[in-house]
Amino acid sequence: MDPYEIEFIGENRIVSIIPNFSYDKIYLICGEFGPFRAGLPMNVPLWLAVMLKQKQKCRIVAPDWMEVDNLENIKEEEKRSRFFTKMPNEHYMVEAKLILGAASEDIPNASEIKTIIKDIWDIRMSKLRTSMDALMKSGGSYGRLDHLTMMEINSVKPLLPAAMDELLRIQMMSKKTTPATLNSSTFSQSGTSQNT
Amino acid sequence: MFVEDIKNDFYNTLLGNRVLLLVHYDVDAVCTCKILQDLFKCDNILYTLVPVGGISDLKTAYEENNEEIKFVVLVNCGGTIDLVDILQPDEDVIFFVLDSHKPTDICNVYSDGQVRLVYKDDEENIPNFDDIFRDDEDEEEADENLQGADRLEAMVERRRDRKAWEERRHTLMFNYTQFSYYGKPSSCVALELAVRASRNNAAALWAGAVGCAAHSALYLRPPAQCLLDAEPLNRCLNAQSHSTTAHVVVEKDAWLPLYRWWSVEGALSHASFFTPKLKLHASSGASRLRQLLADMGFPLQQARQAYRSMDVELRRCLLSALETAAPKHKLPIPTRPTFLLHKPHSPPMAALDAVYAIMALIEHETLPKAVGFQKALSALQVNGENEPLKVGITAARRSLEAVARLAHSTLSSRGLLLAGPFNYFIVQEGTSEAGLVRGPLWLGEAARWIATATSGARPILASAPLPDGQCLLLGLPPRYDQEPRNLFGAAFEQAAQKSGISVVLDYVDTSVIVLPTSQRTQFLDALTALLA
Repeated sequence: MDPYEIEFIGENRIVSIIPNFSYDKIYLICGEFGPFRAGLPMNVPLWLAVMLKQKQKCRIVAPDWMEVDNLENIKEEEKRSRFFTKMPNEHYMVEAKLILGAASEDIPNASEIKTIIKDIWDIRMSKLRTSMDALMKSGGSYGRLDHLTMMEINSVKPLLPAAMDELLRIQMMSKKTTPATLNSSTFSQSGTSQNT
Repeated sequence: MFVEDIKNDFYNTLLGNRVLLLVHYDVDAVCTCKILQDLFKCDNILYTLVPVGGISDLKTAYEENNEEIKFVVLVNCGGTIDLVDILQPDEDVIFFVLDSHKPTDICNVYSDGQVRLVYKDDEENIPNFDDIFRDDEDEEEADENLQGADRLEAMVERRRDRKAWEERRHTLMFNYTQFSYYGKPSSCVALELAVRASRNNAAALWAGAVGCAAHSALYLRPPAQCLLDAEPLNRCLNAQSHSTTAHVVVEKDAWLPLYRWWSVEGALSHASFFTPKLKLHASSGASRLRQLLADMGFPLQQARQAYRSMDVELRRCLLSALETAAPKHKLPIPTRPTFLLHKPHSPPMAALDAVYAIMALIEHETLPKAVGFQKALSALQVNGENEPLKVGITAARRSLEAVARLAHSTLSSRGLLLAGPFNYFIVQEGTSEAGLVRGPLWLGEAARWIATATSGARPILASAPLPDGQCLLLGLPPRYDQEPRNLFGAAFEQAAQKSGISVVLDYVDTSVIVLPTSQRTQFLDALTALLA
């Protein structure tokens, strides 16, 4: 899966906006939204909010979790705990990127929020890498990780199955060759199997 | 005719229609185009954008794209020519002209609705309608009622009146068209439109700031006028939110092009506004530069380093050091309040640097003009990594170095020749600089450099070679920094007529012409005879 596909899935989340125009209800494939009244907040999907913002037709209201104090606490939690903590949102990275990219002037302290979210992402990714490493070293049979978001899982997706395949191949190889060494006879059968 | 209400009569008429946008190749036009493009995107107006280099380009572009288009917007081109006559449009096509080149053609001013001028400049003294156009038919009818001697008298009387009127008209038109000059930057007008349409954001402000900086960096307007032009921009700057996003500020900054992307020594040796006074082409020039750096308190090794790697303390005191050291060498003070763009996690960006970058992108040595134009438009973006801007800055550095080298070689080899009331110099074909100063913007920069070096009391003509045995000829008025009104436009036209040389008067800026290299000396002689 590409990161774009995860962004597409994440864009469907509902955010709150304040339009500056008035319009009736609109009937979209995914549902109906509206009526739009200038100056009154309403809920729309994220993709619609970003599109309206780019045409300068609305103001995006920051989601509840996108605040400096809240994010600082989450960052401290993440640093202290050995395992992954629950993120405020299943798609926090996607939402942060889209909202801060299109509407950074509507969010107070936008650049600090960007830095904190990047820090949280880095901490979680490094934890993920060490746990992958530990999984491989322990034989790659069973691992359990809670509270991972889709984007993070997707970043190890190309690596994990390929690594486990290699591991399995090596294990298969070593299982095949070990009976040959126990056999001390000089039959050509064992000889050929040793050579392969 | 003039458009009174810019939002209702201009912008609202464009909503819901297809628009043809014809834009000239210069910095101010690029900025205006960016603001207009953003407005059109917000309101879903379909548009076709064609950059034009001169009047023949304008004609071809119009002819190729004029099916089913009822509204044409011309940016920085077409104001000084009779549009209806040259383009031969249909009756119902409406032209909106936003041109900072003046004087505006009379037929455009007094057109009855087909050509609409978006901005009225109060400094132009446009002659009255009655002084220029006269209706003679009614008077002849009145004559038929009189009989005999009365009729003869009336006819003589009328002929005398008519002669007097024609003479007056001739003088008025001569005074009106003899100087070519520039009006308010079009990007300021476009910015006002954006403000009225409530689509004011950091990108529009930055484009407006770069347009204003262009007019003062290229000396298109006297310095006092530049400050007045920037007035609406300052009003908008105060209204923006200074939070943690990109915003434009006015701060005192060193007026040295590209100094943040170069070294201090490099920037000081290539600033066309005061470096010529250091006379670097003379043998004592280098020591003068070192003396200036010593007075500023900058060690030579630090000054030669890239600006970002320079000592932080030195960077902070650069401005004050420049202000104290410059008067000691009788140089003008190189700091003035200019526009800067502050972005989070990024060093500040000066509008002056953006001006030079865009100039270099439009007149790039290797990129074709249309590609350079698109890159220049994207170099004005405010968010994200600005790749085209970096390309532009490297190209601008090369061009500035070429201009400096050209000026030094011309001055040291006495290449500045005297001819009657003006001086002229010729860029030799085949030198490395010839490729970089091929366009009018950079050739003008070279001419200004030489004018400052020789204390610009005489007008200067510059000539650069073009492919196919043609050459570009550009005229710079005397004391260009105080009085930018250029008389070479009218002078070139008259000289061309008198000498019969096939001169191509294609450029929108009339002080730039193209003529065959073999007839250049003839033309210069004719010009000398005219202006003597």
